[in-house]
Amino acid sequence: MEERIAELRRLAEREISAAPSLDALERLRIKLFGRKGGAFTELTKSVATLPVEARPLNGRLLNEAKNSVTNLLETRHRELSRALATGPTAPQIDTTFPGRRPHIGRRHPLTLTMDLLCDVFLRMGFQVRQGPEIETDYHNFEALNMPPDHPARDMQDTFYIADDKVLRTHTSPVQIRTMLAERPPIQMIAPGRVFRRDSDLSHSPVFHQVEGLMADRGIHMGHLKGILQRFVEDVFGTGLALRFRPSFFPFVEPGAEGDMQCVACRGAGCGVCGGSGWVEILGAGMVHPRVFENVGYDPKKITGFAFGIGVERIAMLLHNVGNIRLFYENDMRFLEQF
Amino acid sequence: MKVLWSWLRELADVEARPDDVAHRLTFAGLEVEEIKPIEEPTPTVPAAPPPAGPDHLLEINVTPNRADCLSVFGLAREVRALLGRPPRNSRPARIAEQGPSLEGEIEVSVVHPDVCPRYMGRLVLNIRVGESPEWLRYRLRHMGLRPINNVVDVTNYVLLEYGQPLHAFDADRLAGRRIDVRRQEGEGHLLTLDGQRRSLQNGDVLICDGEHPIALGGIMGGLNTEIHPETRSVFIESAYFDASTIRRTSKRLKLQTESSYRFERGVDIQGVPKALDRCASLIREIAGGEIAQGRIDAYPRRVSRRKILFDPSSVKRHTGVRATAAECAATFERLGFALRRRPRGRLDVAAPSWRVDIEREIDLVEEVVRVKGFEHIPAVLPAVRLVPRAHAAEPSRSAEGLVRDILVSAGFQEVVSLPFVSAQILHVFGSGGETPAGAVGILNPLSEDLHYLRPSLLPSLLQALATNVHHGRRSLEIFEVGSIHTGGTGASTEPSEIPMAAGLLAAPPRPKREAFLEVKGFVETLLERLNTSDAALVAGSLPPWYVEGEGLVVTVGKNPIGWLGSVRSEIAARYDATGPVLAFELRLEPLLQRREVPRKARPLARFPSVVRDLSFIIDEGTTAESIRQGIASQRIAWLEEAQPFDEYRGPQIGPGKKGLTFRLRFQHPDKTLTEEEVNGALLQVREHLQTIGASLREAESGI
Repeated sequence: MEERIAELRRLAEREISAAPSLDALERLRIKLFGRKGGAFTELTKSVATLPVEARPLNGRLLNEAKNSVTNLLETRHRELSRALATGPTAPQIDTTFPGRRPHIGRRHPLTLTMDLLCDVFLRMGFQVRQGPEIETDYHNFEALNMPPDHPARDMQDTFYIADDKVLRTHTSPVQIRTMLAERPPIQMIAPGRVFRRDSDLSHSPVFHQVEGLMADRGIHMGHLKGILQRFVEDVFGTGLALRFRPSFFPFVEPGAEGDMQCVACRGAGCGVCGGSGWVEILGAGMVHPRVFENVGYDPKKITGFAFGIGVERIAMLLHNVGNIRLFYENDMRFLEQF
Repeated sequence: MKVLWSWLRELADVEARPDDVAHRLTFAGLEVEEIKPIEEPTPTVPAAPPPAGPDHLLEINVTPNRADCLSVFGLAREVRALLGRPPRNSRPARIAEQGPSLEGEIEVSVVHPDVCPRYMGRLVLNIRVGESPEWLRYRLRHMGLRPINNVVDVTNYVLLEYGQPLHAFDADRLAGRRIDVRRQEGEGHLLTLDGQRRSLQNGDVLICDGEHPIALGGIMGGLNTEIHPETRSVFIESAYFDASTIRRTSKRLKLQTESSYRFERGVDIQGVPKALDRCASLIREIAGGEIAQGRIDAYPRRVSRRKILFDPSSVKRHTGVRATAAECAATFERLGFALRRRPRGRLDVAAPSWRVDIEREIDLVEEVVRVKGFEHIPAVLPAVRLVPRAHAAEPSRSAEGLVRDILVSAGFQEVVSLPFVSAQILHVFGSGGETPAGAVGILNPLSEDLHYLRPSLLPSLLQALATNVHHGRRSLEIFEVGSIHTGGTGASTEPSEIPMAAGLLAAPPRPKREAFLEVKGFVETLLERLNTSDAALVAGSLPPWYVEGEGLVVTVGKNPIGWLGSVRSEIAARYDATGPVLAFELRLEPLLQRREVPRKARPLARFPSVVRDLSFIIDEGTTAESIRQGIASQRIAWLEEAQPFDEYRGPQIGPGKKGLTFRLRFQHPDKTLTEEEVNGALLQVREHLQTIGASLREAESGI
C-alpha cells in the first residue's frame, strides 16, 4: 500500500509538470481526484479497508501525497494561466493605439503672447495700466505732441467716431492718462487693442500693442536699451542682439526703431527677415519734453522713456506665422495648433 | 521718397557706393527701404560730371520731421554731413536778366500774409514751349513725375532738386496783369489742372488774377492759366505757404500733391529765392526767352533763426552717450548750424532755416547721437526706486486671465475677432426692421462690413462658427473676452465700452435641452469659481437674439449682468449652423471686483449621510426649482439637500404631466442616522409633495 501511494504521487507529479494546457490539467485533475474513479479517491477507499493498525500511517502518507499533488496542480494552473495571458495569442492592450484625449480648450496665440510680454515687464517692476479704446483726440494725438494739422498724423490712419473722438491708434494715450493721474516715479505698461484704418496682407485694421513708460529723475536712453535687450532675451532666448535705428515719433525725442536679430536665421539672412538678418519689432524713444509739459511734469527734472511693441509681430516671430490675418479668422485648424 | 543715385551723387559730390550711402542714411534716421538698379543707360547732364557706372533708384522713408530731406539737394546735404564733409552752399544762381523790368509788367499783392508769409515771382518772356531734353525727362520719370512740357517740367525739376514747390502761370492770361494772394471768403470753386471742379471754402489760400481764382495756393494750379503750346510768357511763383492751412485744404479736398506734401511739412523759407532763380535760369536755358529784370519778394515779416542754448552734458543725461563739447560742435557745424561758444563748454546754436524740426535742446541732443550712431548708446538697467502701489481703479488683468483659464479648463477654445459689424448684421440681431440704434458707428469705415463697433460679442462668435462650418467642423465650443461698445450715436451721449466674456456652444448631436443645461452649467461654474455668491440665473427679459423661454438672465446682487440661452434659429442659420446654438454673454466688471475675498473652508461631516431618490408625477407647468424651494421651506430635520436630477415624459405619464426624480440627502451633525429617522423625514417630504399635487410613483430607492 505504501508503495502504491508513493507510485501514484510520482506519476501524478510527473504528469502535472508535463501538462501542456489548462484543459489537459483539468482532465488530469479529474483523473486524480474525480469523485468517480479518481486515482486518489480510489486509493482513499482502499485505505479504509486496511487493518486498523495500518490505517494511521497510510492515511497520513496519503494525505501528504494529496496535499503535495494539489499544491502542484495549483502551481501548474497558475503557470499555464499566466502563459495564456502573456503568450503570443493572448488578448492584449494594443498600447500603440492613439490615446483617448480629453476635450480641452486652448488659449488664443495672441492673448498668450500678450500675457507673455506683460509677464516679462511685470517681472522687471512695470505695472499694468489701461485706458479706453474710444479715445479723445486730445489723449490720442494732441497731448502726444501731434496737434491738429500735424503731418505726423498721416503716419497713423485713423478711424473717427466723432470730430474729437477716435478709435485709439496706439496705447500711448494710456501714458497720458497715467501721468495726469500719478506722479513720478512711473513704470507702467499698457497692453491693449488698437485700430488703424489700414488693411492688407501685412496690416490688420485691429492689432495689439504693449506700450511701456518709465519716468523718473535720471532715466536715459541707455536704460531703455537695457530694458528692451532684456525683453528680447526673456521672450526669444539669449544670443539675439537688439539694435536701435534713429526714427521719428512725435511724442519721443530722440526716437528709435528697434530691430532684433532674426529668430529664424539668427542674423544670417533668410526669407523671414528679407535677407537682412534683422527684424523690426518695436518703436521707442525718450519722452518728448512737450509731452511732460502737457501733463504738468517738469522736463528739466524728469526724464523718461517710452516704447511700443506690436503683439502680432512678436506672435508671428515666436510661432512662425506668415500672415497676420490668421489671428483673426478663428479657424480651428490654426487655433488648435497652440 | 524716390531719389536717383546719379543725381544725388552729383549734388553731394562724394565718391561712395550707393549701398554704403544707403547704410549711412538708414542709421541716421533716413531709412533706405530699397535700392533698385536702373536698366536703361544714364543720360549725360549738361555741366555735370559724366555718369559713373549704372544708375540706381533709392527709396527713402523720409519721416514727417525731415521736410529738409524731401529733395535731392537736401539729401545730398545730409549725405555730406554724415560722411564728414563740410557743408557746401547751394549753387549760386547766376541769373541773366535781359528783358524789361518786371515792375510795371505784373503787379502782385499778398492780401493775407498769415497764410502766405513769403511770395516771390519772376517773369520770363518769349519762350518756346516744347518737349524737355532727355536728361530732364529721365530724372522726372524715375522720380515719379510725368513729363508734360519744358516749362512745367522745369518747375517740377527744381521742386525735386530743392524741395521748393513752384508754379508757372501763362502770364498773358492773367486778367488785369495782376496777382492777389488771399484767403477764400465764402464759397466758390476752381477748375484745377487735373480737370476737377474743386469747391472752395473759407480759409483756403487762393491765387487770383484781376478777375478769377487761378490757383489753389500751394496745392494745384488752375486750368485757366495753364501753360499750353502757344504760351509765350510765364510768371513763375515761388512761395512759402502756411503749413496748417495747406494741410486743411488738402485733407478736405482729398488732394495731396508733391507741392502740398512739402508745404504741409514745412519748406525752407530762405530757399524760396534760390529756387525761383534756378527755375527762371533753367527755363531760359531750355525754353529760351528773356528773364525780366527784378523779382517780386513779398516777405513782410522776416523769419529769423531760432537760437538754442546747448549744454554738452545734456547728451549723457538723456542718452547715456559720452560726447565732448568739441565733438558736439563739430557735428553741428557739419550740419550747417551756426554756433557761438559760451562759458563752460556751452553753445548757442542756431539751426539753419531748412531744419524746421529743430526747436529745443533735446533736438540737438538727437542730432549729436544720430550722427555719432545709436550703437554708442549703452545698454544698462535702471536702478528702480519704484514704490509698488495697489491701484484700485485697475480692472485687474489677472482676473481677466482667470476667466480665460476657467473657460479653457471647461473645454472652450479662445477666439479673437475684429470688433466690427455691418448695419445688416445689426438689423439681423435687432428684433427686425428698425435702425441700428445703440451701436457706435465709425465715420470713415474701411468698408460697409466694418461700419459699426460690435454691441455684442455674439456676432463675432457666430462668424467664427461660420468659418469653421465651412471647413467641415459642426460642433464648436468657443469663447472670447473683449470689449463691446454701445450708445453714443448722438453728439450728446458718450459711447460706453463694456468688457465682456461670451461663449458659444454649437453641438448638433446633442438635444437642445442637454446643450442648454451644459451652457447653464458652464455659467454656474464660472460664477462659482469667481466667488460670486450672490449671483443668480433667473427668468427675465432677454435680448432679441435669444429664443423666448429658452434663456436666463444672469444677475449679481439683483443687477442683470448678462444672459444665456438658445440663439434664435433664423439667426444661427445665417451663419450656417446645423443644429442648436447656445450662448452666454457676461459683463466682466461686476464679476471681477469680487474675486479677492478668500474662501473660507467648511468643516467636513463626521458621520455618513443617507441618500434617497423620490420619483413623482406633476403638472408640466410646475418647475423643478419651485418644488426644490417648496421642500426647502418645510425645514425638514436633517434634510441637507434636495436636488432634481431627472425629468421624463411619456405615454404612461400622460399629457400635461411630467415625471421628476429628486435626490434627497440627509445628514445628522453628531451621529449616524437610523433607518427610522430617515423614513420619518422622508414621509414629511412625501406629504409635502402630495399637498402640491404630486402623485408619487413606485417606492423610492436608496443608496
